[in-house]
Amino acid sequence: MSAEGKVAIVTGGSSGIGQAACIALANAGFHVVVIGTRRDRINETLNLLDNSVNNPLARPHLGLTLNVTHEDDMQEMVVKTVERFGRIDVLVASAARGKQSGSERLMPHPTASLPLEEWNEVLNVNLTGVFLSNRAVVPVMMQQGVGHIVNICSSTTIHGLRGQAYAPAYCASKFGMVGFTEALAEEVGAYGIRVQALFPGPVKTPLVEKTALVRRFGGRYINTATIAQTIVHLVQQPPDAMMIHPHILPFGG
Amino acid sequence: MGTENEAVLEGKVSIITGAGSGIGRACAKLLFSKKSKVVLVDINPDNLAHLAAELKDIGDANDILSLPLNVCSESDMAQMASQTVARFERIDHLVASAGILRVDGVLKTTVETSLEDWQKVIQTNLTGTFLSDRAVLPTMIAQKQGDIINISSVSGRQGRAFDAAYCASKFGIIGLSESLAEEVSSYGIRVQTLLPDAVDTPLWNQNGPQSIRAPHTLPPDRVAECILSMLTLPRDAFFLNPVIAPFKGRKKRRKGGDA
Repeated sequence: MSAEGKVAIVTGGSSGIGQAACIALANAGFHVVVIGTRRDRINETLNLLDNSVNNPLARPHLGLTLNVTHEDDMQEMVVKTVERFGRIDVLVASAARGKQSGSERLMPHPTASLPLEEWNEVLNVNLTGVFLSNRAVVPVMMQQGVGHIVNICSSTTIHGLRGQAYAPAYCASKFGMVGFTEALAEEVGAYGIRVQALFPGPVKTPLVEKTALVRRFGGRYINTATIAQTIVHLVQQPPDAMMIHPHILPFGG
Repeated sequence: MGTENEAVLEGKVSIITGAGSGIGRACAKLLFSKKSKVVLVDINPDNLAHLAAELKDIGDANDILSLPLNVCSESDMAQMASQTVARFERIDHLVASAGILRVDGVLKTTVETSLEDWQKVIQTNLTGTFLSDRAVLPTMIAQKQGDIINISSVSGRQGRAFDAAYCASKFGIIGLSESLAEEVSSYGIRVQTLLPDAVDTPLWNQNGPQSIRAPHTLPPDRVAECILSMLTLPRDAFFLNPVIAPFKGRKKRRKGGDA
């Protein structure tokens, strides 16, 4: 299924899963819009996209320094994308935070001593940010009569998403994302918009490597490229099918 | 998941049970079109012959082995493995897709379900999956590599009235797969289970005309494509009991007089 002319926005696009998704989507022929809060990292990502694999369909990409927690920024994300490329086919909402930004603590807070500020920040980026980014693209996708949103959730155990000690804010935000994703999916499905959540186990990214999550999986990580390929597969599925809540875990062989 | 990965199927040996119809048939065609060697297993020799004839039109007849066998029979499943190895020297993939919905296609309450009918469904769907999986394991263990995909159903997570045996068998397949996965992962054998929602196949059509609301069924090709994506997923990962469902998309405008 050719992606020629199709447009994908990736929040959290300048690192981890988001960055790998940008590269894979670019290789698949999408125009990619990289959303992040740090201009230097966005530029690094854009360089990777320009230098990526020989793709005869390679097209220009766009980097925008925007914050998923700001309503106006998410509006700007949509306006600038449509201005430049005329449409929005895919949103990959990958921006997420494990703990408070700038925190020097190596050990996570137990709930009893978790500062409200950290709780708010994690919920704001991981849950409200998903709401704001999804909300912003839906009107454009509705007008098009087609669209695909993939919200990057998490599989915190080998059985799927479960609450974990010392990660109350992160877990609450990911559970919240599932409810939000299901609600939106039910609303906009009739307009040809597929909304799904992807549940990866531990992926080799800066966010995950700062945690002990991988110990629940026998020390095995999934490569970001594998997750990125899965995302590309999901958004390229024919319009009459959808994987529901796909969970992807490390294989121990 | 993309053409570079699909090239990985070339020359690989894939056994598909239930290849004579529905999901198995679509899967066999797709894998063969990606240049996998295919071993077609089904209880119905006519269906197998039709499929083999179609495949010969699109590829090399030497890459096809048709085996009219019964997944319920231990000796048949042993044959499946030994004949595959004799012909192609390895077993890379098993897609265990053979299954029945009901005996004689008749909906029955649990009270009306005979022991014989119960056992037939459990035997074909669950025991058949066990026997086909078990048959290929020694070869895969010796290879230290293999992929098994067992076909369960959304009815393997959520039961439905009038199909107690079917639901029990599909729930059971998930349990079997998860157990097996844990046992053999250290041998490089990846065991995954796919849970399709309603698929447009002869099995589903036993439900008869749907009067109240036309169900949206998946074309079997979609399920085959999903199986392909599970087989070609890079080996650092596996899908945990994925569900593949029809996506309804745009509602068609209903004209007066439409059913």
